[in-house]
Amino acid sequence: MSTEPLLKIDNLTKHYVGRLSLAQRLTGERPKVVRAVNDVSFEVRRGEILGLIGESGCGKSTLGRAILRLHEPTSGRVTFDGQEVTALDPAALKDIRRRMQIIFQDPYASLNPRRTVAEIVGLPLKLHDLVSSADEMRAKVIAIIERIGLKSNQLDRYPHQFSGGQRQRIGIARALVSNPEFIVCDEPVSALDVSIQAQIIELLLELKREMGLTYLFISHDISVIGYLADRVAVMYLGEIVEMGPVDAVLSAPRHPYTQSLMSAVPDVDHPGHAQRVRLTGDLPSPLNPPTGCKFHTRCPLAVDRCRSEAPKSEDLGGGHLAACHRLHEKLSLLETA
Amino acid sequence: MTNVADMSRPPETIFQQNLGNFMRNRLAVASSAVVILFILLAIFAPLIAPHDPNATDLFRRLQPPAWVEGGEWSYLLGCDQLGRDILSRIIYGARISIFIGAAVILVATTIGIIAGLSAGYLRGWVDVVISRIVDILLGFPYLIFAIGLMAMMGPGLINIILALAYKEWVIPCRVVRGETLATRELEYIEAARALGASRRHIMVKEILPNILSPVIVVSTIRMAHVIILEASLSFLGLGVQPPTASWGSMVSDGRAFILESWWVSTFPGLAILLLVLAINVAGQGLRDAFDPRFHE
Amino acid sequence: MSALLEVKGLRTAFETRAGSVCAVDGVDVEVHQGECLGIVGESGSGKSVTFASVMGLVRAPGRITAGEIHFDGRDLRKLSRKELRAVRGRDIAMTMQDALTALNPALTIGVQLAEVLEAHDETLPKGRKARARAIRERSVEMLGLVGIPSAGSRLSQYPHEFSGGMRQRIMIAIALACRPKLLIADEPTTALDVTIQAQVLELISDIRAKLGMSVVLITHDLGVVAEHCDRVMVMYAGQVVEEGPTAEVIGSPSHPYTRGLLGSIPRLSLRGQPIHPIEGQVPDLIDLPPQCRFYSRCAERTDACLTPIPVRQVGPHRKARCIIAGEDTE
Repeated sequence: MSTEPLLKIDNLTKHYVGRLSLAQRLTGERPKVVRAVNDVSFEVRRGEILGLIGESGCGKSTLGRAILRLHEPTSGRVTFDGQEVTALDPAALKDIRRRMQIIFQDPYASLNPRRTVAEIVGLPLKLHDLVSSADEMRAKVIAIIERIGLKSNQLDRYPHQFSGGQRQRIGIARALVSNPEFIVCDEPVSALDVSIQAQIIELLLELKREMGLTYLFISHDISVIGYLADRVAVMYLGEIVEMGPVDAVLSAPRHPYTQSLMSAVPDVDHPGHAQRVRLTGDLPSPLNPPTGCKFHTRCPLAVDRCRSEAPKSEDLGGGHLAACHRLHEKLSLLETA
Repeated sequence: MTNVADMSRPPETIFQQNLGNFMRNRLAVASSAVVILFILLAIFAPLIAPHDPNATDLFRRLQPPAWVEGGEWSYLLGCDQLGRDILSRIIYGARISIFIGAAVILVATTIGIIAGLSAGYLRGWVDVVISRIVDILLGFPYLIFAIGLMAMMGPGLINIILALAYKEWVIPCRVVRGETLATRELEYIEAARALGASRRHIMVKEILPNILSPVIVVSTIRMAHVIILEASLSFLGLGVQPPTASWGSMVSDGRAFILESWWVSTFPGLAILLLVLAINVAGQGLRDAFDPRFHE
Repeated sequence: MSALLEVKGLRTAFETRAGSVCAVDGVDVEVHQGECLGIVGESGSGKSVTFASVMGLVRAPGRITAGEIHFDGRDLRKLSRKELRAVRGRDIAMTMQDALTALNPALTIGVQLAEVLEAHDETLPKGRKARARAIRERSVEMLGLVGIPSAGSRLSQYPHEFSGGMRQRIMIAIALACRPKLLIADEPTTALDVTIQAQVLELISDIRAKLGMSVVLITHDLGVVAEHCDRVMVMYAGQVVEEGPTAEVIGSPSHPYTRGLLGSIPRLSLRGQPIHPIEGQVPDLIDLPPQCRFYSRCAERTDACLTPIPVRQVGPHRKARCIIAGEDTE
């Protein structure tokens, strides 16, 4: 793995602003703002898998899409291989799109139901003029289709004739046919059966090795991230609360939120050994996030300072970062056997 | 339920599946047969019609239908006030109704798709402008609007088509816009954007094939409506001019004699009824088979 | 100790245009008093249809074609519709995966709780006012039991005003309103975040302890089963393939499918090692050949597996549907 970051995210922010009706504007009402992603910064090194975990509404999917400018970031900078993606004009952006791809979660909605597999997988080749004849396109499509486990005689079939796992493979083929370098994997196995999940995970790892890919792997399934990611970032309400090498973050988490997450994951091999950290209260609404540290309303360790001051990210050594005021008090909510 | 693909069956498009569903609906298939019958009548009118529809014969003035005393089998449905064979005029009249109906729907649907796709996908001021135009046009009562236009433009086949299409396009436009708004949020559209597809590609190659089904269904049902409108215009004397036979004008012609010579108005009226009913039932069958919203 | 629920030879089939789909094919289930039985399976395993059949909730084109369902001594299949309705909700209750669609969005939760109490609770007073008051008290009590704060004021709220985890809890409250003897929880945590999942499962365990209730936990997550279930039953393609005490089944699985599942779950402890996914996919349930259904995906298959395989005892409380199970494998 090279040490120069392939992807650099600086202070990326994505807000959604509600639209006001004329009447609301006249009464001076302020529009509702959802801060889906708030001032997020990190790097992804070439050849690594960076995992992104968090619960519903934490903004991980929005972050993945903002990086690709599928949702335009409100502010901040995305730099890919030295080029500032956020500043590109449409023509240059299209070019970058060949190198940065995405795999979606829902195998049923991510393929156009009226197009054959050949057309779906061949689309990137067409859009980026990567082939000069129909034969060449078909050959390339067959090559990638067979690599991901389907047969060439299935090329002229339609998505609804395949199972969920097979459709997900088609989506992977589509993302890889243009030989990209970086892939955002947005919950690629969450909608699949357990036995199929393992197949797809193995496939993704093999392809990464063969094609020298870099993944941003978004998932709410901590076990999957624990298995395949090199580093992991934990998100809560649009912000990264902890980040670092997977072993460090998941086995010895320093942030109370990560600790509560890890204590809730059911462990097939050691059931009932972890003491569960119970959080109080419900997830706050992203329309009205708490002041100070966003986690303070549910944190068992919250003190006054947490209410008024947002903690800054601190380096704990070895690339392990966490944002919490009480990091150095050597507290841990977890008592493991 | 299982999530398994059956690789033993040949490639089957969603269209073929829907067609299969449609064929199982016997009433819809029967109605389609009726519609096709009318279309054939219209196309082969010169070969089928027993007499020249415009040939007058004052000796046969108001001759009753064949089964009534005074009628003749060669003039099956009787004759009108100028001695013209009603059956032949009905057969030739099918040409007018079907041609105008199809032409109006074709023009209106084409405009509607272009406008609806643009409004639904591009949003912004394009959507605002198109939606306002649609709202305004929807506010005008259809027939009065058409009458007004005809009065301004004068009679003639092209003018009728234009007068009816002027407002008809907003119907498919609304359907297309709604479907586009829903479809654009789907992941495969996002996937196309992520691949670098242009907006034109997305609208024409990704969205359009997926929204055609409801549009076709709506257009089919609207065609029945247009046929009635054309008949109404002709009835009021604003449609095709004599001597061309139009069912609407035939009904109007027979008004003066409706009590004694009822056949002059009744048979063209029945023709309108039959064709419109058949189109409506076939259209419902199409909707049940092709419109994904009715599938669960 | 005779079982609270005893299902023998259950067969439920769905007639489709392509053929007959036997979603549940010869399933035997036993649930004992006070225990928590986990049912594990993937799509097409028949786990949900089995218990929908027990509850009598299978409708055309589906039909129970064979089997006996004994609950608390009564044969449920012999009951009239009215008698079955009386059992459903009062003695056996079921919660579904998607709480948002299982709860009626147009009715307040107070009304939905009242509905089930009205239908089944015979201890309610008869007079209108007293009855209404009793229903309200009972509803508040139930919501308190499932951990919904300030329950009294929330009775007038609608399902969409609650978060996913709370909706699941409301569904549990409705299910438990009449203190059923058996709770069937169908994928209670699949749509939930991991911390909420843990809360809901703990809630079910707590209530189970308090009320002495039996629970059937239907899930695809072996981790959940490991932490909360006394016994586990693994289903594949409409059949039971393995059954036994949870710790034993997970510690030393007998059936190749169970082994394959356990070996292929990605987890932190397996980092750096290849996981071994089960190849292939679930077979089409239409016109299944009379042989082991796992045959096409089994790494240990032999020609002897090409006949219908019965369930065999492979240990003191363990059963498996496999010829080689119970022998010295692994």
